[in-house]
Amino acid sequence: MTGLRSRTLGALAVAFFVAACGSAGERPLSSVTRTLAGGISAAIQGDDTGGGDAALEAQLTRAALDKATRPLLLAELPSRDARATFVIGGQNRAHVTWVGADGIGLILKNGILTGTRGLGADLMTADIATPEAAIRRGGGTATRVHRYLDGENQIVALPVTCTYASAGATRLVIVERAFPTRQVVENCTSGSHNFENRYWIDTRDGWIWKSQQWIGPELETVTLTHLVR
Amino acid sequence: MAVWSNSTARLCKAALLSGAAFCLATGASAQDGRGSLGFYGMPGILDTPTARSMDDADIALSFAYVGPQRRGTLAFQVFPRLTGSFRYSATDDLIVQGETLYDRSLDLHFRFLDETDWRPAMAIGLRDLGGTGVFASEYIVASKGFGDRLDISAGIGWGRLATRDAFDNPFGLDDRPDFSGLGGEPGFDQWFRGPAAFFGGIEYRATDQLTLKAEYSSDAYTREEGVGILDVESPFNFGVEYEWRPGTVLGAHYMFGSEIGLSASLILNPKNPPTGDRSPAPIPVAVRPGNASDWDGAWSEVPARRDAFAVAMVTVLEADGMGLEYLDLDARTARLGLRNDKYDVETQAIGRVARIMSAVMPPSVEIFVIEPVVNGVAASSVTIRRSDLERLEHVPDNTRQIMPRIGIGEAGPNPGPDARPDDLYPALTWGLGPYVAASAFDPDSPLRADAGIEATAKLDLAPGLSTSGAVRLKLIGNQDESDRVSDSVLPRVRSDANIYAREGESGLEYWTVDYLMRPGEDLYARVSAGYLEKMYGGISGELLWKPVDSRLGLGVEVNYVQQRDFDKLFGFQDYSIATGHVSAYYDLGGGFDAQVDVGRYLAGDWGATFGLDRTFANGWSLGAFATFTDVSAEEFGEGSFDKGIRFSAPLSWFTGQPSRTELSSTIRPVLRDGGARLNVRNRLFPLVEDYHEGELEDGAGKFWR
Repeated sequence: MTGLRSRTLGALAVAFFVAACGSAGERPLSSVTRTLAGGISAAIQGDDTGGGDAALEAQLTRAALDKATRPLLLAELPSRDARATFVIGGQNRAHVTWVGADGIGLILKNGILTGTRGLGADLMTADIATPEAAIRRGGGTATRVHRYLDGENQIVALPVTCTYASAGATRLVIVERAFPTRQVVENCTSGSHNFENRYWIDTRDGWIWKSQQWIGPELETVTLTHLVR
Repeated sequence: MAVWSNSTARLCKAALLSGAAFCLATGASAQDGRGSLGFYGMPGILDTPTARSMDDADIALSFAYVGPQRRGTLAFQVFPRLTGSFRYSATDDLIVQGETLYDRSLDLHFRFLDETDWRPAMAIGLRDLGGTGVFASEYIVASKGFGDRLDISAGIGWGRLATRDAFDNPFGLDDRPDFSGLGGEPGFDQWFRGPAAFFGGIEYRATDQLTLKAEYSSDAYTREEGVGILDVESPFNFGVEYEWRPGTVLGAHYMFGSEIGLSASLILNPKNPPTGDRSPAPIPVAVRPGNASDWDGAWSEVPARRDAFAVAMVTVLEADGMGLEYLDLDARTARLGLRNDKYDVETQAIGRVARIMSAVMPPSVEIFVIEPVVNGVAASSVTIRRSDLERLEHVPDNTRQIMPRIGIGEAGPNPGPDARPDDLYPALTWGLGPYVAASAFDPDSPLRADAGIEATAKLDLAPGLSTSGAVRLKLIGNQDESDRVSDSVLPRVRSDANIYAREGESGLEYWTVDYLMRPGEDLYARVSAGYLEKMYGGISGELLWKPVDSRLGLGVEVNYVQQRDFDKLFGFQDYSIATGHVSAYYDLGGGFDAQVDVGRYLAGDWGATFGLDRTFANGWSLGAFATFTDVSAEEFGEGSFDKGIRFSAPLSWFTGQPSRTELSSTIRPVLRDGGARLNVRNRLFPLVEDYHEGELEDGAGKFWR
């Protein structure tokens, strides 16, 4: 749509400016990435958690996961044809910021997505005060409020109403290891948007091992799997 | 609920741009959709206008071709009711056989009545309101939609729109004087005068993409037919338009019963970027362990430990594309001078720096004071409590909550050398890249442009003191082909621009020594000397008063300059002049900024320049300006007085990557010698205003991005 025309313009503009070089140019992305992926110490020491598809596949074996020393999250975003692993970059009370190798950030509160960064049409915050309990309960109704940035950098709020239902017990397998889970389905509507989220919750302690969660109208749904807890 | 419906509209727009189709189902009916554009690149059928408007802030670039005429129009929906446009038209053989007449014109279109169920929308308009009169016409028009697809318009026209079946002027203003003068001045004595005629048209939206148009035009193309360049056999024109992609419309038309016409228009809207911000995620807030009683400030007594924190800060700031000018630390407060050469939304830079500070600074530091430093001058100070960052990072309405807790004020005194990294001065930065220099709408040619390589260098010598220069090497272009000889009766302060383009096609663009400083409360000062711009060298001094929280800024600029040689090397010509202005800058609110400059111009003429710009929080701006001096219209020559339109778009809008690069341009119908200002670099107001309260609040949404 308008996208293509503007992207053509954008591509021209980019081609023009990328052709330029100089000492004041922006730093290579990788250094920023290092900062994010490894936290501050890594930025200073030059740690590297990046890697291509081959590196990702190598991570996704039971042997590799069993050797992992820190929590690892797999995120799959079909709308961007993207798939990457994330490590913990920060924690603020119950909110954990997961960071990926290409500058993407995902914010989860007890396994429920409350924000994204670096994707473009980011979810700035999500108010999940009542949905959280409903997901745990596997029933009832609740209201979410998602906030986004519009084209003029103003925050716009999108309230959605959701109903919750239990979809029964499932034996969830994550890279050759099985977990006893119960599935909870969250059906939401705002009038102009409808979406369905799904959570696989460990029946023993309530840990959300896997989920499918809607980010927003453009990015749609991300699938999150905890590879290493 | 009103708030929510507003949000829906915004989200719909954002999503439409990104390619999602979920909002299309709620698609607008014919009467509240974006009005289609006619052959004048303004809301219209083909030659006749409608009472529609484009969407607020739409920018449309249109091309139309029929018979001997070609038109290119840049139109802007200034606010929801007002559309303005600049048009460049070419007509072959109109005045002299074998020659093309190039004509520039300005149009205004004002929708003064909105459509309801029982009444039409109505608009009034002026075409070519100050040109040479070739296209001058005025109209009042009504449009009414019937259902979702049919739109009918009818109106009454004057001037060119009353050259067929005209009747006596309905207001009794029968006398429409012939065009006289030099163009460029509003034709008050002609508007809505002389005979009038009716016109009308129909638009039918056959599908979401396909529109059929038919009109009865009261423009008989009398003049064109009179000189035999057009055969007008019918007052009826027909067209088919296809919206290839939203915002891109292609049209084919059968006009005058004798000609096939073609048209194309591209519409973009500054409010709707093609992509969101794709810059890497910010570092998360690092929450301090324990509580205040555990946070020992003894480290601050040890210089080596303070230095270690500064080194860490430099490393992480640079990893995020920014730089450290100074860091003044004590046990409880960190005052940081920030160099931001990366983020165009200044509040985003502040938010990211605050989070970096939370990760680097020892726990006893509770107060973060961030002072953005521009060319060595601290433009403001932003004070953030670290505990607010920790508490609000993930709160759902964290944007609304953090802003009132942030203190925005004037920067503190310059810190001593101990607070500055050792290797800051001297520092050399350089760049090498392509350039394009265009002179559009030259009276003899629609577009002349040069392209080549530009090398820039800047040597920072001390805080505020630097020397910088740029040289250009032209590779291709046709600006040297302009051989028009200036007929100006004024000193040729600008009208010899084409000689510079010819004899100085490669040369020194500027080379100056600049010193910027803060001489007192709310004051900023600049002194520049050297080759200030491509046509002038000399010395320039400026003083600006701009409180951080004020909508008003006042400045004085005084320059003594001499005209440079045409070869753009180091020599000077004989002409020298003292020129300068007193300027007032005012943020009118609602996204409009006004500027008035009063003083003496390059040709020694005295007068004032008035500018009005619509600015968007994402960095776009579009505006117009006009200068009135004691030079008469006759002395000024073609165009009568200096005026033009200007725009600026942030590169980040197109790419989604933060950048302080802007794509900007000024378009003048004609560049002459009256009302000409010096183009000195580093004028203070735009440098410091970026970090003042209004701009920082505009960018609040990106504090947490």
